[in-house]
Amino acid sequence: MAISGLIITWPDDATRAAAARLAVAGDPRFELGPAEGHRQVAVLDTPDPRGDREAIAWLLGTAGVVHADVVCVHLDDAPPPTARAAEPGPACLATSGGTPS
Amino acid sequence: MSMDRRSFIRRSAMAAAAAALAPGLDLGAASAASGAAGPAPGATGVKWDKAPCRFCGTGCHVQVGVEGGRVVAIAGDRQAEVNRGLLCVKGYHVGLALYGEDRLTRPMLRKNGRLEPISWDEALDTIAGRIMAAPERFAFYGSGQWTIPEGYAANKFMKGGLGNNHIDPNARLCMASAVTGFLATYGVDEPAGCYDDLDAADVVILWGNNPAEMHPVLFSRLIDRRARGESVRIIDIGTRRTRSTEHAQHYLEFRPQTDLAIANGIAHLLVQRGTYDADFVAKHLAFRADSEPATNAGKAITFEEFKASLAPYTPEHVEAVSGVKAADIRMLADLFGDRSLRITSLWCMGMNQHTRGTAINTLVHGVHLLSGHFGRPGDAPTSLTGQPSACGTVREVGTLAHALPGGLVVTDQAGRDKAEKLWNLPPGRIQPKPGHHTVEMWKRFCTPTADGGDIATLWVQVTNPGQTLPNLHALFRGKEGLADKFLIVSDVYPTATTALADLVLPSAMWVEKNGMYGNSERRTQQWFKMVDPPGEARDDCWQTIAVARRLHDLGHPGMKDKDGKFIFSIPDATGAEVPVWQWERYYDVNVDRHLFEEYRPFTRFKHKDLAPYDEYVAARGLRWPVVQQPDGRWRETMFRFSEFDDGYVARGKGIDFYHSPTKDGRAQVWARPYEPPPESPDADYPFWLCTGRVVEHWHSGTMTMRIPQLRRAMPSAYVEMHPEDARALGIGNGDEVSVSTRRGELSLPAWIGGRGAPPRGSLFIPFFDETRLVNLLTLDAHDPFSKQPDYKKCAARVAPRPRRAATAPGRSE
Repeated sequence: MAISGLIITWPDDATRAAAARLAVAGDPRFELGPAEGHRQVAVLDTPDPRGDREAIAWLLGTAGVVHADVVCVHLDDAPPPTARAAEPGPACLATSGGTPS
Repeated sequence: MSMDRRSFIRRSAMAAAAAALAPGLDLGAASAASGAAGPAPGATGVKWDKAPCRFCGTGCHVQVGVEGGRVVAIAGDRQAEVNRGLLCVKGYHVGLALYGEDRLTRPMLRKNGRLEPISWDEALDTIAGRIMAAPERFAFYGSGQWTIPEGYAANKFMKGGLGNNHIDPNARLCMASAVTGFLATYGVDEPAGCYDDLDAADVVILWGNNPAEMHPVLFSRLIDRRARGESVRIIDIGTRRTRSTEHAQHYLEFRPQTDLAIANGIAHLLVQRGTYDADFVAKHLAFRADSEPATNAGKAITFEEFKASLAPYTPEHVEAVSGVKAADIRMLADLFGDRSLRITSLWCMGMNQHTRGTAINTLVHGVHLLSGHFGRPGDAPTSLTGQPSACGTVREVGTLAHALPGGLVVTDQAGRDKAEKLWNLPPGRIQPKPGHHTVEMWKRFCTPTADGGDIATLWVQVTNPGQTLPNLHALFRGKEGLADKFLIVSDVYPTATTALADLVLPSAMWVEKNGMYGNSERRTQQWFKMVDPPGEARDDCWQTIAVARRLHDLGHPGMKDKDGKFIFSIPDATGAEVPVWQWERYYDVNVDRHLFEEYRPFTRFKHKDLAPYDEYVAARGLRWPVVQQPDGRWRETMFRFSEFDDGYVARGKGIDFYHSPTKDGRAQVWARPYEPPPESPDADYPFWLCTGRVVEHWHSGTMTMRIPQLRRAMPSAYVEMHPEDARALGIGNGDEVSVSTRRGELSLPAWIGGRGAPPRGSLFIPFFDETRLVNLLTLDAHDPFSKQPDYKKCAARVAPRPRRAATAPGRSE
C-alpha cells in the first residue's frame, strides 16, 4: 500500500484547468480535496510504491497539470528495511496532536 | 490492513497536504476524522518547538512535536520565510531520522579486528594519547552538517590549540568552487542576493542545477508564482533532462565541461553588440585573467584585453564546442542584454564539482556583472548549498584548511594576529601554512607513513567519507592494512566509514542537542535540544571539548591561552568555570551561546555581522549582515552591496563591493577560457558518467535510508541510460548491468525512461546507496583553486550482466 498527500498546481487557463481536474478526478487512484487558488490537495492511493511512482508520472504527464508537490508518503505492507524506524506509521500523522506554536 | 486503517491514513494524508497548502483550509470530514492539521491548542501533551530541517541547505524551518521524550510529530513552520509551512518529502519525515534501529549508543574500539564497546573515558584517553604522541600528524575531517558552535570549537581546537591546520570539511566536496568563485569576484564569500530573488525574477537560469528534486521547496516558489499568473521563464542548461526540465521553457543540453564556452559565448555577444551595461562596467568593475603561476588572485587586465579573450566564442564556435545551438546562445545574450528584465542564476553541484569549478563560477558572476543584472531584487547570481550549514559552519566559521573564522585566512599575518587576539593566544600559535585539503588529507592518510603519508590519526565528525569521497579505492580503502593509521569516527549510525574505523564514538543528532546552522541565503538559525540522545550518545561539540581537556590535563601547552586558562573555559552566570568537559555538567550552561558569542566578533571583520544569540532564539533565522539600528533593533540584510538595503554601502554609491579584491569597490570580471576535462569518453570507456542525488534521499542516505517511507520509495541505486544505448547493448529496464571506469566496477540495475533522461552516450548514478558505492568509480581530479573534485564527469563503460554480482563493497560489519 502506498498513500501520498499531494498538492497539485493547475494552470491559469480555466478551461485547461477544468479538463485536467476532470482527468485526475476520474482516476480512481486519486481523491481530490480542498483547493486554494490554483492549488488543490489530493490523496493518491496505490497498492505499492511502484504503482505510486507510475501514478505520479502519469499525473505529471497529464495535460494541464503544472506541478505536483508530494507532501507526505505512507508506505506499508512492503518488505521491512534492514534498518527499520522504531516508530512505524504514517509520517503525515506528524501534523496531528496539537498546534505548532 | 483493515479498510479503517487505510481510510485513516488517507484522511491523514489529505490533512497533511491541506496544512501545507494553507492554514485553516476547510477539510470537512477529513480533518474531523483524523484530527490532523486543525488547530487544537493543548489537545494533547505534545510540546512544539522550532528547528531548521536537518537535511539540505535550503534551511526550511520545521515545528517539532515532542511527547514522552520522543519526537512524535513534524510540521512545516508557517512563520518561516524560507518555506512558509511547506516541506519536501524528506522534511516531513525528518523526525524519523532519529529512530533507526541501529543507532550507535556506545563508544567502540577495534580489538582483534572487531569493534568492541568501551567506556567514554577509555575512548577519550585513546584519542588524547594518539594526538599527544604526534600532534602534527593528526587531522580533523568535519562537515557542513556540523553546527556553528561545533565547527567553531573544532576550528579553535585545531588552529588555536594544536597549532595544526589539518582540518577540512566535507563541504570541500560540494561548494568549495563557489567559495573561490565569490572570493575571486567580490573579495568576500557568499551570495549577495537571497531567496526573495526568486519572487522577483522574470528569468531563472538553472546552470546544471535540478532544484525540483534537490531544493524542492525553493522550486515550488517559482511554480507557485506561475500558478498565480505571474510570468517566470525558466531556462535549464543541463547535461541531462530532470524534473526541473519539465517546467522549463528552454532546455539547453550541453556536453559536459562546456558550460564555460556557453558563458563566454554570452559575454562575447554582450560585448560585440554593445549590449553590456557600460555604466555599470565603468563604475563598478575591473577585469582579471589567470596569472603564471595560477592563483585565485590572478592578474589585472584591461577591458580591451578582456574583450579580446572573448573573440573566439562566437555563437557558432560555442555550438561546435558545447552542442547548444547558436540561436540559443543568442537568446541568452538577448535576455542578459535586456535591462528591463530581472535574471536570477542558480547553481549547485553541477558548477562546483568541476575541474574548472572556480572558472565557471567566476564566468557566471561575470555575465551578470557585465550585463548589470546585479543588485536589484530578482537580479542575482546565486549558488545553492547541499548541506544545512555549509555556509554557516564551513564558509563563515572557516573550518577549511586555509581559513580562520569570519573570512580571515591563516596565510595572512594580520588575520592570524586578529584571531590570536580574540582567542587570547600567545603570538605565533596559529601556523601560517594551510593544512591539507580533503583530497590531500585522505591521500596522505591512506599512504604508508614511510612513503610520505604524514597523517596518522584522523577524526571524522558528522560525515561519511567512506561513501562520499571520490575514487574510494585510493582515498579511503587504501587505509586497510596500514597498521599505524588510526581512524576515529563520530556518527549516529553504522556507515561505510565506521566500517573501517578503529574507534567509533556515538553522537547526538539534530534536536538531541542545541544547535545553530547557516543556510544558503546567509540565514543563521538556532534551535534548542528537545529530546535526549539514545544510550551513551553525546554531542560532537562535547567530544571535542572533552578531548581538548584531556590534552590540557596531559600538559599540551596549546590547550591553554596566554593567561594559562583552558581554551574552552566556560563560566556560569556568577563567573565560575563550569567543567563542561564532564558530560554530566555539559548542559549546566548553554555552551552554544557561549561559543557563539565568542565567535561573533570575528564576523565583523568582513561585514558578516551576526546578532546576539538571543535574537536567533526569537527568530526563524536572520540573514547577515545583521546590524543594530539606532533604536536597538537588529536588522538583517537581504541584498548585499546594494545601497537600498545594505547599511554598509555609503549613501549615493548605489553599488559598493566593499571587500573588493582590488580595494577600490570594484568586482572582478574574469577571462576564463574553456578547457577540456581531464578524462573524456574514448574507445575503451565510451560513456560519460555523472553522479548526483535523488529527491527521496539525502546525500549518503545514512539517515534517509533508515526512514522506512523514504527507503521503500527509493530502495536502491540504479543507472539511468538512454533507451537507444540500452537497446544497442541488449539491456532492458531493470536488468543488472556492470558499470566500470578506470578506477572500479559496480553492478546495479538499469533504469530506462525513468525520472531523469540522460542523452545518448551518458549515464547517471545516484550516490545515496551504500551497497552500491558509485564513488568507487569516480575521479579525484580537482579544481586547481578550490581543490574540489569533479563528480560530474568521467569516462565509463556499461555492459549487461547475467545476474547481479556483489562487486560493490558494502559495510563489513
